[in-house]
Amino acid sequence: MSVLGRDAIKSLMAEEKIEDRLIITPLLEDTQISQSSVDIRLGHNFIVTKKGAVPSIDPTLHSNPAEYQAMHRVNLREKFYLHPKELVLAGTLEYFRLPTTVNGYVTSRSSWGRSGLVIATATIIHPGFNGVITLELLNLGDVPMVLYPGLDVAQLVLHQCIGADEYDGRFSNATTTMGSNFTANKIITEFWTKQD
Amino acid sequence: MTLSASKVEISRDKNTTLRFFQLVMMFTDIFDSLDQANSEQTPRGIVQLISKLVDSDVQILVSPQQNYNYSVSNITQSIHNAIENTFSTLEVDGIFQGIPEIRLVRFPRIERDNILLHVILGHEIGHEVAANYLSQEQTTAEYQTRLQVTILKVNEILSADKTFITLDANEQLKLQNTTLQEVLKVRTRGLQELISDVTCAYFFGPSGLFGFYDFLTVFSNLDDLPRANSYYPPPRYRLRYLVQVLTKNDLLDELYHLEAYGVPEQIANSVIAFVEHIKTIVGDNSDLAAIKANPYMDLVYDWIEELEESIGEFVRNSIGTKLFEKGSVQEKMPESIARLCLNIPANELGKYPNMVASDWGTAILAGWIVRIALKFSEAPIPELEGLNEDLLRNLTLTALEYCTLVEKYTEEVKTT
Repeated sequence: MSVLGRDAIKSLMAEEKIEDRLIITPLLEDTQISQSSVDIRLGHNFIVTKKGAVPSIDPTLHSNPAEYQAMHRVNLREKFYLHPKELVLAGTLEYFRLPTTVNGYVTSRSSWGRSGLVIATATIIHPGFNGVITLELLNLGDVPMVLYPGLDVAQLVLHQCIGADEYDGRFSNATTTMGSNFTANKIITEFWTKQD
Repeated sequence: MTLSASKVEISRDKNTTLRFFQLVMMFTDIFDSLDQANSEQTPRGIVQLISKLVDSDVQILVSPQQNYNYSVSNITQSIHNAIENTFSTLEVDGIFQGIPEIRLVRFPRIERDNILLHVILGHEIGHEVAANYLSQEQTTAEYQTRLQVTILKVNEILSADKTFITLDANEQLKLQNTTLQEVLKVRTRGLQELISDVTCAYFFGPSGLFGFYDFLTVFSNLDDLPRANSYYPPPRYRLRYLVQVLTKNDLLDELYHLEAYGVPEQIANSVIAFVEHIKTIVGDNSDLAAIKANPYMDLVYDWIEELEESIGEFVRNSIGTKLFEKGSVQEKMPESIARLCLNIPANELGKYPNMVASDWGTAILAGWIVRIALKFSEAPIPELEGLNEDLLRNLTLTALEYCTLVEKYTEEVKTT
């Protein structure tokens, strides 16, 4: 379906009934809404991988992410160093509520992408999603990158969506960065991974 | 510590060594608190909440503790007190030069994520207001006159005691003095706690009452009379005092109009039922009967009752603009609660392009109202179907963080 442009985004945010409204809070600057996307900011909580904690991440063995991931709080104006080839998870500063008629994709912003910062892979935001979005940040450059909470590193592109139910998966209502969890797909995982 | 160790080396005096070890013990406690004061153990929202309540030039260290209690202490002052007898004034001044006032705020670890209960920190900050009240009142003519009346009444009560009249004049005088000192201790402690409670109510409005209800009814017997060494007022008395203060300031009755303001009926009715429940508790006068039965307690609490007006005025003047907004229940609560019903933090009001930031007092009260409805409603509430207490606490904490951020951003960016 069609991508929502600036006017359509603003119109959704101005819906009279709060149930039908697109919520992006706090929207610190109106300029965050661009031609066809909304710039979104880094939050304060980063999930980093505890290198050496496990030899590899095997979904059959490491269903508890606490074994290999740790939450790190970065306060306002503090630096977070993202090293070359390092992947971290970071929640957005903003809290979202998408109406069921809209879904979204998160992508990098070009200025950051050109410096080597990639907002990676699992980027779909389902209709009716509610909560903080977890970004997957990867430094593909050759030097460490300094990140601060509040930097607008990513953008959310919104699309019209027809016939969707409200998302109520395990990432809904997240108020902070969410790590991986393989147990949610246990039955499927067991089918594919059972060792004889 | 280095300076202190060198003193021990030089003097080899027993008292100096003892003071040095007392200092080590104190620093062990402070370092332990420092170790716990990290973002994994202490939600950021508590720090922001407490920062709102104290002066901006004070540094805050927030840390959990095993005890089921809240406390605020001035670390800088404690260290100062601990070393002032060991070092010269010049040395002490040198140590503290450029060091800001640091307050250590401790909260019960088990309630770490319970941001709603942390309104009790308003009471802890209120102890400073109470200290100022008690120090200024001693200079007033009213206090001196009332003190004379109390001295006479204490003597009168003692004279009615058969064993008292058998004592010689010296012993009688001694007993009169010690009894008066105990009476004044009970009064001081009573006022410290009640003024701190009133401060909490002025900061947080009805949330202060709800927090205290939760906290005081966990372990306490509601009618416990003040006991030696602590002299806390009976919990039922404190709840009643809070209800009186909130009622006089029209902060409690507003909750009876929630439905008319647009809050869903079941949520509004749950809150009314809960307030009525608290009113029933404070309508039971067993604590007052217990106070009446003890002539000294009766004397103290008669005096305390007389001060209600002056306490209210003093607290209002002390906390200035941090006062809970009376109009927020009507103006902000329906939308704040509607947001929580949709699992959205209640940090903002209005729709694009006219969104305005809410305030932390409103965000916390909205959290309390929804929590009361979740916990005490007789039937499931459809509007709260997707909400549970954990999520509610997280949403409230998020709302507080957002309120603080937006305020700071607006101050620094939008006004330049």
